[in-house]
Amino acid sequence: MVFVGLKYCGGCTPRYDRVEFVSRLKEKIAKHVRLVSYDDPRAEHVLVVVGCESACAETEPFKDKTVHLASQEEDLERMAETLIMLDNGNNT
Amino acid sequence: MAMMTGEQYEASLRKLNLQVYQFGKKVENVVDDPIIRPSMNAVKLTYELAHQPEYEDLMTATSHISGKKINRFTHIHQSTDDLVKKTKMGRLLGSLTGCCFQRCVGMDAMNALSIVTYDIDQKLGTEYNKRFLKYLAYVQENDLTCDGAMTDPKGDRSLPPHKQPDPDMFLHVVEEKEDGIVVRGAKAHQTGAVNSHEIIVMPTISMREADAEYAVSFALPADAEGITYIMGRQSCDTRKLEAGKIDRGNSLFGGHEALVVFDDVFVPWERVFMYKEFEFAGQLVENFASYHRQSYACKAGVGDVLIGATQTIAEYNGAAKASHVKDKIIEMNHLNETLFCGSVACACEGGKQPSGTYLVNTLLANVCKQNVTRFPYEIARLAQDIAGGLMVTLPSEDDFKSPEVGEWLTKYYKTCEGISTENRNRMLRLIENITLGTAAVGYLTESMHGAGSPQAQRIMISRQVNMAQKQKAAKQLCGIKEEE
Repeated sequence: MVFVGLKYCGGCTPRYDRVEFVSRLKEKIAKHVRLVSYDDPRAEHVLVVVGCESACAETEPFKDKTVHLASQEEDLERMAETLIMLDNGNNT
Repeated sequence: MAMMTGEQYEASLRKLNLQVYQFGKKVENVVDDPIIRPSMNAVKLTYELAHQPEYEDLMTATSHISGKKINRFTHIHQSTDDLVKKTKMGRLLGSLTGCCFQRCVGMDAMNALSIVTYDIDQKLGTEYNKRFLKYLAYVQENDLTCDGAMTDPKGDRSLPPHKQPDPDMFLHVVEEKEDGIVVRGAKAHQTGAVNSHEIIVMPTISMREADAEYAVSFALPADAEGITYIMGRQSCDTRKLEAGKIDRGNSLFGGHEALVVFDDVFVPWERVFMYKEFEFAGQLVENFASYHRQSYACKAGVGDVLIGATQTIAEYNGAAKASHVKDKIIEMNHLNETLFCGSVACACEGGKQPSGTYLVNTLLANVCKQNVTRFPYEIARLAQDIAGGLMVTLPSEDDFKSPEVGEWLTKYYKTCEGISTENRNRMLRLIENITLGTAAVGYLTESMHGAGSPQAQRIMISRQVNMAQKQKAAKQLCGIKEEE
């Protein structure tokens, strides 16, 4: 199990439901990844979920971490695979 | 306390001893008053969202004073990115409340004062900026809502303040004391005034030396002795007194305005940010107005609600597939996004002032607001076009519940199979609310006159465009030499 920080953009004009996206993602990665607050010191990776391609979420505080960006619903499967790989990587 | 929760905000308002009048009577419980309450709910949301991960990136910022995380409504813009996020925050809140959420005006006042107090000090050797920053730290640390009070009643518009037959038509200093000043006058149309902890007063126009006693800016607790609030009426306001909520349209949120009277109110020196420096009154007005004209991105958020309601009612009516309906909704979106464009543009093109505060591009802010004086009216017209006349002839919620006539209403107002008549009524009432009910105060007339009436922007546009450059470009292309 790995800890991944979660950061949203502010959601002014999102093209999809960001919270629903994360909810579905959590289900897919539940056995491998726990999403925690982005400032949780256990998180070396941060998932940044943005509502559109402007991707204006503040990421400066994560410059020492690995950032994974999701900006559309279609990113769900790819992101799930990426995050699960983090856990698999830890196990090997 | 760096950021209050919504509950803490509501509790903090209950501690205030505001003198509020409505319908000729003193309001004893402002927070729970059924007509005022929806407006408090809207401000309360600005506190709640700051604690929600999916909104906090817009709703919070880092204080340049303390380095702490603060509510963006108490922030002084430190970059164009801050300005853009302010625009986006406005749209977000407009779309979540469907009304004016009232808190931007205090933010705009503080940002303008952060610039102007610095500039006064640089020229005159005063210490206004130091005072202001101390006040700002207090506002940020306690996460206060501030009313930004600019608009005086103005009396005879053809006369400057000092020539008004009644000298109180513009707020002014009536006494100077060792420990402060005493002011008298009033500020009109004060959005969110009775939901505010503080009231920040600014002059309303550029002034000359003869008007020096009117060139005053200061901040006071909202319940300072001598301040009285008289609530403005809104179309359909008393529907909030009815038991049912459907006819309100917006069952959760609303706005409010009030006339704020200052009846010989004492202001301690540490809260005075301008005192007779008449030559800076115009700059304060222009800076505040530019910020506030940017703030009208909120109307794009309310427009989101109205467009969503219009699309939904078209579907409920079975008209959504008609080509002209589709085209009208495209037009609504086009206009709405154009409003957003103006606010984003003036933010992106903003610049750093000597104080360090970032100010929007003032030309583009005025262009933005000029569009706001027009487009919401057209969006509202199209919404009413698509909604149909029933929006204004629909019987009351009580009639639908009536054992005598309710069945007829349900029968004759049925539309498509599977569409709830009650849901259709709710959507019609929401469109009514935004286009001619309580929320139309904010969406339409406030769009017209708030942050300055249309002509004010046109004057600013004419002043700020570089006409000589445009003429030079034209002359060059058609072969006219400058010396001719």
